[in-house]
Order: sequence, then C-alpha cells, then structure tokens
Amino acid sequence: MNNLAVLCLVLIAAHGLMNLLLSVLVAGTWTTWLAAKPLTSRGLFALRMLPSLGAVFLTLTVVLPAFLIKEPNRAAEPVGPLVILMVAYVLVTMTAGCVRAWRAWRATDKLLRDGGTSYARFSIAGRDVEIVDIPGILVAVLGAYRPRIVAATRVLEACSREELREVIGHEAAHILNHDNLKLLLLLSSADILAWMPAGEELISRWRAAAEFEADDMATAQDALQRVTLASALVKVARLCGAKRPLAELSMPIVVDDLDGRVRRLLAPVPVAHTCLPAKNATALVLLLPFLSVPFYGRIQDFIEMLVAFGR
Amino acid sequence: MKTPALRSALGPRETQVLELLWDRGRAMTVRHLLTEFPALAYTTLQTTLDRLYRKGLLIRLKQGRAFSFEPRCSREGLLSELVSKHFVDVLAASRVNTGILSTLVQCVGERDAALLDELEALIQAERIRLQQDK
Repeated sequence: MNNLAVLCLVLIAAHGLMNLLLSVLVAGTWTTWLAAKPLTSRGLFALRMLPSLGAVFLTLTVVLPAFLIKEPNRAAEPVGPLVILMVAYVLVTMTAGCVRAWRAWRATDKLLRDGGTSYARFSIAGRDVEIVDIPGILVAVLGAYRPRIVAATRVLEACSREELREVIGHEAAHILNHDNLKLLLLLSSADILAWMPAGEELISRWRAAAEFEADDMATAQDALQRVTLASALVKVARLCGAKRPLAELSMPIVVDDLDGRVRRLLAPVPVAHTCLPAKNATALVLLLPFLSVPFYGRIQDFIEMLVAFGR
Repeated sequence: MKTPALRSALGPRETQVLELLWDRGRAMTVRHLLTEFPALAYTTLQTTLDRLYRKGLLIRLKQGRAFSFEPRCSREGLLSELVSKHFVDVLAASRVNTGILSTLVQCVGERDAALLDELEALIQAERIRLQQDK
C-alpha cells in the first residue's frame, strides 16, 4: 500500500472517529442539558450538523496538517482493523445520508411533476415565487433548490385577504431562510446521530423553531398581524380536520404545536434568544486549527496509534 | 385531460377505458364499450373493466343479466387521490417527516374541533382587545 492510499485511509478513519465522538457528544449534551433550553433554529441546525461538518473541518484543518508535517518520511505501513472499521462507518453513514436525501428529493419531485397547477407568480427579494395548487396539500413550501409555495385554492377561498397575506408571508419567510435546503441537509447528515433519538428530536425541534421564526418574520412583530396569522392558522387547521388529507400519515399529530403557535402569536411579542454563545463558539472553531499547532506531535502519535491499533 | 399521474398509476388500456367513461359521463356495459373499441375482444374489455373495478376505480351496476360500469369518482378526484398517495409516500420516507416541505400547520383531526373553537375564541378576544386599545 503506497503512502497516498495510507493518507486517504487515515484521513477517512480520523473523520469517522471524530464524527462518532462528536455524535456521542451532541447526543449526550442534548439529552442532559440542551433539550430543556430554548434554542433558535440556527443553534439547533448547527448542533445537528456538528458531527458531520465538524469532523470534515477538523480532519482538513488539524489532522491533515499534523500528518503531513509530523509523519516521518518512511515506507508506507499496513493499516490496522480500527482504521478499516472507521472507513466502513464513514461509508455506511454517507451512503445512508445520500439515500435519505435522494428519497426525499425524488418523492418531492414526483409530487411536483404529477400534481402541480401553477396559478400565480410573484417576486420576493428578487426571487420568483410560484404558487401551485397540489391536491392533498393545504399550504406549504415544497422543494429545496427551487422552492415553491403550494397553496390549495380552498385555502384561498377560506381566508380573508389579510390572512392570506400573512400566510404567504410566513411561507416566503421559509424561502428566505432557506429552510427546505436546511431540512435537506439535516436529513442527509452523514453521522450516527441520524439513528439516535436525539437526532430525531433535534430535527423536530428545529422544525418547530423554524415555524416560530417564520411566524415572527411574516408578522414583523406587529400585534394585529400576529392575530391575523393566528386566525389563518386555525382556519387552515379546520380545513385539514374536515377533509383530513393527511390523516393516513404516520406523522405525529402535534396538536400542542398548533395550540402553542397560536398562543405564542397572541402573547406579547417574544424576544428570540439562544443559550448557545454563537459568536464565541464560531471564533473558537475558527481558531482551533491555529491552537492545535503546538499539539501536532501528540496528534501524530494518536494517528500512529489509530493506524496500528489491533494490527 | 390525460395526466402523467394517471398514466403512471394505470396501464394504457385501463387509462383509455377510464378516460372514455369520464367523457361519456354515464354507466356503460361491455357491449356499449365494444363499439368504442372495435379492435378489442369482448373478453379483453371485460377483463380491463374487472381490473378497474377491483382497483376501486369503477362502480358496477346490475342491468338485467349484464353489468354496467361507471367511474367511482371524477377525473380531478382520482388525480387528487393519486397525488395524496405520493404525498403520503413523501412523508413516510423516513421517521422524521421526510420530504422537502414545510407545512403551514400540522394536520389536526376532527376530535380537536373543541381546541380549534377555544383558539378561535382567544383570537376573537385578542382582536377586541386590540381594537379597544386603538
């Protein structure tokens, strides 16, 4: 096995090991501490993506330089079973992530191709938005790369002009926040967290936070607009209850979610906050490659141990 | 109006027969349909109609010794059902509500009508309070 092949295997294995450790760290932190804290959608997204993106970042900015600088110039050595195990872990998680993303994309694309009747177009922040009527969906944003607002004509009939403005504003906020693209990234995240309850909880909490934030963006924190949106939510929920287009789904019927959203809209305008010190955390992450330079020797020793483990 | 959703869910002959029944807008027997499809054998047409009936797309009515068939739902209704099924597939693709979509509200069942009434009363009260504050 030549040096380049060993380098590739070591990098993939190091990535897998860090991915695994970060997954366990996120799951543990979430379960014991963060689940009870109010977090913004951005914080929740960062937390959920930490194992996959954090592992890539650390591999390229810490492990790779340490290996290239400190690896003694000698003939390539055979790798041990731990490296092979970690490479297999990376391949499995990446394949599973790709499959999840592909299935979601394909199903969404099929839905758009088969049922969409476009009946209106408008522009938000320089982006064209198409309004489509797809049977079975009341109001939603569909698609990640070219998101479309789906609104059933019976929703347009049931809601007043003011309510519709808030509804479309809410969906437009999802588009401006790139929420569907984020959802696709969350679903395709290549890590073991995808199979852990904490991973599902994080996505579920992210969805709820994204809804709250879209409500806030749409209503511009105006009390009257918030009441109008709350009224539209109840009207749409009533349409859903009468026709029950989604009743067969095994998705959670989160009545508390609607209840909580309406009560939140009627309460005094909330202040968004997070307990994650986002700026400090970002600064620390960006400094990490530089802070790790004095430890390259130890990192290399660890890589040697990883390569030789079980050999 | 032939739709991709229909073509992908049914075979070409089934689609032709169903389209014709929709266009005629009345119940038809195999013998009536034979005049529209002279190239088909009686038994072939009978099998196609039976298949559509078993799929729940046709209603069968007894007319003397023969059966007549009519579509169970309109073209739009069937399309809606097919697309809803795709939608179910989208969301059932994973345990985490897969599908690249953000819905305005999650579905609530009829049993939650009381909750919706309560929320509506709260909204009305808040509207009145805002009007009084002005």
